Amino acid sequence: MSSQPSHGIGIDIGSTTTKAILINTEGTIIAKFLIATGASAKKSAQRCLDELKVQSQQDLSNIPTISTGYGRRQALNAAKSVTEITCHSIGVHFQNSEIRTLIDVGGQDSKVIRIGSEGRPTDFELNDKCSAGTGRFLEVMAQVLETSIEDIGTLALQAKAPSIISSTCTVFAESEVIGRIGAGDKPANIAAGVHKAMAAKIATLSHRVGVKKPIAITGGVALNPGFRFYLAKQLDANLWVPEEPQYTGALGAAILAMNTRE
Amino acid sequence: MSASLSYDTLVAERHQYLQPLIAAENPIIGYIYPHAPLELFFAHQLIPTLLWAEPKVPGAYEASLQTFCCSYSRNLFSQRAKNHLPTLTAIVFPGGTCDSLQNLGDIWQARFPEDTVLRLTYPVARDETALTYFTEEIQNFSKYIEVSLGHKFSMKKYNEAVALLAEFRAATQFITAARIIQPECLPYTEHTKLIRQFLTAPGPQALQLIEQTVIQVQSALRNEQLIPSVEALRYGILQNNLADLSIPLSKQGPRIMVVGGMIDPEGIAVLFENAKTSADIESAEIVLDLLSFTYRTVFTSSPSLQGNPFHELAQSILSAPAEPTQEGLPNRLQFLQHVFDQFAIDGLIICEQSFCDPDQFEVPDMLKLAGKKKMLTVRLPLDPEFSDQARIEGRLQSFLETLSARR
Amino acid sequence: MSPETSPAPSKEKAYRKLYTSKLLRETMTLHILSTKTASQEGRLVWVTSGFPVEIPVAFNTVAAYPEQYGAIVGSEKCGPLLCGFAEELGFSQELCSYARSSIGSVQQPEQSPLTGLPKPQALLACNNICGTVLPWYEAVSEMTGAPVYLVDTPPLEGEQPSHHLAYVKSNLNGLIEFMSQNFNHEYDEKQLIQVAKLSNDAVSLWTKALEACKNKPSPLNCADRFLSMAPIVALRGTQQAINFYQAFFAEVEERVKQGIGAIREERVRLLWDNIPPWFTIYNFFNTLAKQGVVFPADSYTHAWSAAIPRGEIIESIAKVYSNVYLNKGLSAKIDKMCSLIKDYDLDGFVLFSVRSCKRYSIGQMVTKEEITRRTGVPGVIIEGDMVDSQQYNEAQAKTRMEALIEMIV
Repeated sequence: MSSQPSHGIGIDIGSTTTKAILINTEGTIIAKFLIATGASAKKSAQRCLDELKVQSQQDLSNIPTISTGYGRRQALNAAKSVTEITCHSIGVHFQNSEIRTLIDVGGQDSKVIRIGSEGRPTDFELNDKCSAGTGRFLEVMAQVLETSIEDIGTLALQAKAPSIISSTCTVFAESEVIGRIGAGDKPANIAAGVHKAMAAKIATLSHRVGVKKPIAITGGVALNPGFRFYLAKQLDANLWVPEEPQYTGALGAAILAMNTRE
Repeated sequence: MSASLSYDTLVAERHQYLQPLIAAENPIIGYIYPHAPLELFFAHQLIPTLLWAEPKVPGAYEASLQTFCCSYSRNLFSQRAKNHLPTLTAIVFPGGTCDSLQNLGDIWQARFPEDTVLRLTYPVARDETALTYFTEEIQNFSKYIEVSLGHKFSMKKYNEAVALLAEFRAATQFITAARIIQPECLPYTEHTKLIRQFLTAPGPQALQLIEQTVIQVQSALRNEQLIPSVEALRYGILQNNLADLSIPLSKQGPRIMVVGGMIDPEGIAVLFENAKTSADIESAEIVLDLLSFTYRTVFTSSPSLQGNPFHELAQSILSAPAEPTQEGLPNRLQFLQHVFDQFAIDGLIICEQSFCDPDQFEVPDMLKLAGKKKMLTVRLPLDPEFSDQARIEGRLQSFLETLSARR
Repeated sequence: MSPETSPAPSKEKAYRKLYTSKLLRETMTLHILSTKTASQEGRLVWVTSGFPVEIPVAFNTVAAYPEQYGAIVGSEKCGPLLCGFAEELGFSQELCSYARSSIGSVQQPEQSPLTGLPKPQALLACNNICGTVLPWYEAVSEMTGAPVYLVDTPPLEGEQPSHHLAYVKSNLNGLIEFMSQNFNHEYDEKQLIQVAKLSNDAVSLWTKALEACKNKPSPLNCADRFLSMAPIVALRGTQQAINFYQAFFAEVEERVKQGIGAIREERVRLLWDNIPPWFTIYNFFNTLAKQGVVFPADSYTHAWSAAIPRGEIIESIAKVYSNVYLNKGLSAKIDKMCSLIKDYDLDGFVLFSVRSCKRYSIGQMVTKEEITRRTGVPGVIIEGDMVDSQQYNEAQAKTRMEALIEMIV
């Protein structure tokens, strides 16, 4: 007979950052680490594991590992790779079992996931090919506005009259933003316009799946208060944010790893 | 099936199919839209080859086509510009099926004046008047081939071709129906490969491979006494009468269906197998696709040897089922509803060729219908290059994970 | 030459407004009201811009034009919003923005300009302008329950063959049957001939106004024609269209007689190809007007300048609607544009590459080279869209236009 392992490791190799988590049967996080993915997904995954080892002072070699994220197949020591859709769903459910819709906005992808009562995804929708409505879009806009990705959301909240930005195509919006700067719009108003356009895009994606409340938001962009504000407005709902939203996928993977029967 | 199953091997294989014909110096005519009068080409002593999109061709369309021209057209143009196409006596463009291919024909002629470009223009309507129009259109087309290429229409060759194509359709219809009932009887990858092989180099050799497979499938099904059900199903599909059938379906794994237009079925098979391996759900099977090159080609009725060849060909071509290049969305949706009900489909993979109007317009109604049946769907925005293969496989893997969680 | 040649700065606007624009507004407002009444009375049809509208008009139905509605959506700058509603339903953002905004307005009429078009009793599509109209109308049919009738006019190369003409004729006869059944009105050939005559009269006035732009300075600019084409599209076959174009043509003639141009100082004469970017139409053409750039001709508004020939009425209608500009091959388009450049003595051309409109736009790269080769004048391609402003990059368009003007001046 097989038994449930006492620990589990989840590694989420995203396009921008790699995250790793070690948990025990009680679901307590024993160690966690986040690093920029950089050019090598393999190296960043290994670096994360090394760090978990240091933090936990444990031998990790026998602990089941599940990898997820864009580079999920790059983690050689992972028993199995599972997509972000499933891992985010489980990760969020673990922290708040009421959640029925999850919006995850990452660097390259945005997704809307309907979560069943068991915490597994029941339906999902992803953004189209281009970077419209992803973290990458905000990054480019922050550069144009000469602010940082950390500050652009706070800047947007200071707006009195948001500028109209119609495009969410990164290339077109860039010149639209430059045009607004040229027209003398305040940076805060432009930043608000950018967030509003992006929130509208994500709302469209959400409506394709059908929004069931309560709603959670994860991914790096969940940390952005400007985006949360405009998305909540678009969806006419409160958004629940986990404490460390960027770790949700890794947490879900770790839970899955622990549940694998040996 | 291993995760290393690669698309490159498939491409290399395709070239191999055509090689013997090229070596034998047979005049080859290339066509793009799958519902072409193949029997007519044979009657004019031309061997028709379906021009597939090629995943590995470097983009070479930028000075001639805008990016919003459908990705299939762009791929074909690049193949021609990079000399990746086989040597062709002539190339046939469809008229009236979609705006991208319509205009591509003109652009091709302007850019490659040394090519012999022919056009067959299809009606969109589906009634008696359309049949009359198309009969004459095919007759004129035949005369044009005779004049421009100097190949006369041979009744003997025509009759042989009618028999060849009828056998091809009957055999592949059988396999398709068998897989709906018991998908384990033949892997989807094999099924699509056989069809691909025949459409690339149609002839007795390719047919023989299909017929051998039919025999294998038959012997597998005979033990379970399923052959009468397969035949009833095949007949039901041909008659567009699925509602009253009682079909004994194998209920092993999640049963998955693929919809879309001029999407490479073999490519989908590879992506699906890769995703399946990652998701660790061996039992999931594609039981049916409604793609243009497979289902819609295979379930076209064959011309009868009795009637006027042009009329018979027109009737055959216009019978291609489920094509959104034709009028009749309500009929197609009704058919889809029957398919969902009768074939116990658990999940639907919706392929959207980038910038393909006919494909993309139909998606919302399919989603609505699938939603009503509480069926899981996944949309795959595709171009023939599978340029973001990893992301598409990720989508498919999520789809399979979600399906297995639902069960 | 323009009357103002002195270098002294003029107070006059770069762009001259037509006084018949008031009559245009009234005519179109009345038309919109009549579509609302017709819908309530159960006799409203939606038609595509190239549809043989004379037939439904002869059945006493009123026609509303979703493409024209798309132009309104564009001008009101709510394209992205309405297209978004369609995208929520699953329609790809790669599809035609007329179709997307139309579907979006059917889905969310309360959030759409004029609360959308009134509910149709039938949807009449003719694919002589593109292949998109059929799936678009079929999608609307699924939402509204109104039946679709397709007049199928397969694309033509060169002369119309007899089997093609016969096919289109039988499609038109089918249309007559469809209209009789759905609108409980008997077909009256005399009435159709009368409507066709009214249609021809309006087309003739419109064509004369277009041809008046051969004069220097040109009495009309692009935006003038794009706006005043509304009745020739929507009211073809009615007395209202004739009334408007009589007044309109009189104003054009008056301008010609007095040597008044559409813009203050005409320095560069250009050809425009394709549907305009409705969301920035004034801004685009008036900015250029300030630089002395006028557009005396375009391929789009000239599409409504063919009269129904004499002869058996159904056959005549079949001929004229099969042979529209967009239903012919690339070489016919190139021929047409070259002759416009020659006849209107134009210095260059602008090909607007409209993402939404594949039939109109794909081929423009070949077209550009060929026109320059044949006429010797330079041209430019600008990327964009007619309704979905998300697909248009103003800065990019501006740079390209300026480069073209620098090549000419």
